[in-house]
Amino acid sequence: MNTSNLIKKARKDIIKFGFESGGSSHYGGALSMLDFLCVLYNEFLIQPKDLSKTSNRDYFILSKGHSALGLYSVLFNKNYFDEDYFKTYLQNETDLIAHPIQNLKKGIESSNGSLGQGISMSTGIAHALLNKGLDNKVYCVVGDGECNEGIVYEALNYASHYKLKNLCVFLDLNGFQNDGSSKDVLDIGLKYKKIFESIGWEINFIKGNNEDEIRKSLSIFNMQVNEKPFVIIGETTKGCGVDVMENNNEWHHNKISKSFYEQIKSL
Amino acid sequence: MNYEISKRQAKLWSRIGARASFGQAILELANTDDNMIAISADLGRSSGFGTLVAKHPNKFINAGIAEQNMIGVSAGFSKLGYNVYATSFAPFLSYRASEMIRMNLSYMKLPVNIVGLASGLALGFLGNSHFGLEDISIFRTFPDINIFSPADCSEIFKIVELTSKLREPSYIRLTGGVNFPIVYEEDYDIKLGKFNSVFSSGDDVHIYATGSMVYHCKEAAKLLADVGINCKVFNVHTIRPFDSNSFSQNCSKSPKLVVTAEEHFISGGLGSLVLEELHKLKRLNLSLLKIGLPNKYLQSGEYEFLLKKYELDSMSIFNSIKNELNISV
Repeated sequence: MNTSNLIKKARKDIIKFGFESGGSSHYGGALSMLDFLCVLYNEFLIQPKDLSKTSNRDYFILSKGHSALGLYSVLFNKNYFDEDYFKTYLQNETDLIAHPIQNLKKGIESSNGSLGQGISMSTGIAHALLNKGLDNKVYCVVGDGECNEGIVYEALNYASHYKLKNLCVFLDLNGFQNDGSSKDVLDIGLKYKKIFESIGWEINFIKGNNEDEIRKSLSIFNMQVNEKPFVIIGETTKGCGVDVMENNNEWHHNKISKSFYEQIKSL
Repeated sequence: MNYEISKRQAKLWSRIGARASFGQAILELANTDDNMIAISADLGRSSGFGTLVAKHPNKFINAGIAEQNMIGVSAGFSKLGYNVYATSFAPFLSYRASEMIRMNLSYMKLPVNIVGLASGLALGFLGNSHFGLEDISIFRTFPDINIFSPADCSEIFKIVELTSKLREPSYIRLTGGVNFPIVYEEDYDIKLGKFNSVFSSGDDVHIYATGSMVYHCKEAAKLLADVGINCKVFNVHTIRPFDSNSFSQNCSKSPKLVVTAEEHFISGGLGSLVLEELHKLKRLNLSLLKIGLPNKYLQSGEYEFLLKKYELDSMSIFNSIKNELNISV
């Protein structure tokens, strides 16, 4: 499947499996990062479907763990697990819950949900790969709301100091968090570009829901010769691709009704 | 690892103290284990890593004063197969980086060893911000983390060796300062989750001691034997997994008094654990004396002074047990 089709299919499945689960999901954040995840998994990430087979491979960590449904949808469409397994999403005693649970055999690298910890582990993996002389890459998706957490800055400093050139962070700048607009919650004037730059990261500022721009950024990262960690700051739309959900924080975490599902399932 | 426990060596280690001995043990491990890596949050020198850094610069990583991220970094290294030892003062691990330890070591079971330096009262004049008073209590509630608490410097070597082979999530709690008293002068066997008896004159009193308290309880037991009170002293070097089998067998001997001793708040630590075990065994009829620190913030002072002030030295322990028996017998 080409990446454009993968994005459409994975978006549809977020809605479908989210609705069919009968529960509430973090749709907004899952949709805002979906284009990045699809380009990454379809064109760049080099790893076996069973991650436990080897540690000499690329790594993906979903630091904004609450967007797990987006990750599950991509993993399903990339055949890391089958439909029966995906159907257990939000069913009692499943491992497919609102936040990823480490499950190497199903392609899930780490347990997340506590914000800021994924980027921290990513720096450790990247450093360990460099120490071992391996040229594999570590990719990590961080949310802008997540950047309220102090540990994020500890990790940024660490990555810069140890010149973790094999680390690529996608900052999903969708402008919203649980309680509303990030400007209202904790406004830092969207100075992420300056912050990353001054800490010593290589920056690519793009439209984060544009497949071509994402592809170009990931290519630049994979070809870069300098010794800096790399961040793609992606300006995204929360709820991207589902009209009613776009920039509507009611869909940060919500349940899709049957009538609403009938309206949007033809996307 | 290559080391020898002898009278001479034990004396030398005792003189340099718990942290320098730990650094020596890690150096010995680094000499033989290619996958070993030591990480610290700007406390490399306080971890005794001077020689390690000089001899094996690529086996030490300074994470800076950022304990939370240090745990994430350690977790990342462990995913690549490294045998990680991450150090900081006990409170900065157990409280500040608590949730990172919960997610990475406990929830994900990543085999990282974390080392709480100078726990208990060892940092004397640095005060409550630096004392390790609640660390056992916190880690005891996190599933799947082993808790080690070496009784002397020789046992620090033993536990570094044990954990390096075990490769499980573990917390190593270092108590005691320089001139850390000697419990072991010759080589002995140590097993995960198995008490070691360090003194035995009879079954009037069973004393369960951990870390720095093992030596003081052993000395107290000698004094008690002199006045006709016969004791056994068990070194609880592994607080988790706890040696429930041996404990149950010991209880069947119906001692007049069970004692726990720890350089830790009286609530939540070894004493609370033993109380829970008694409850499980339906042996709450046994008298229990919990020796530890009162549940409040403490005065600062020289380490030895503080042990006496808070009645954790041999003589105070002797008196506490004697008094308890007078009341309860």
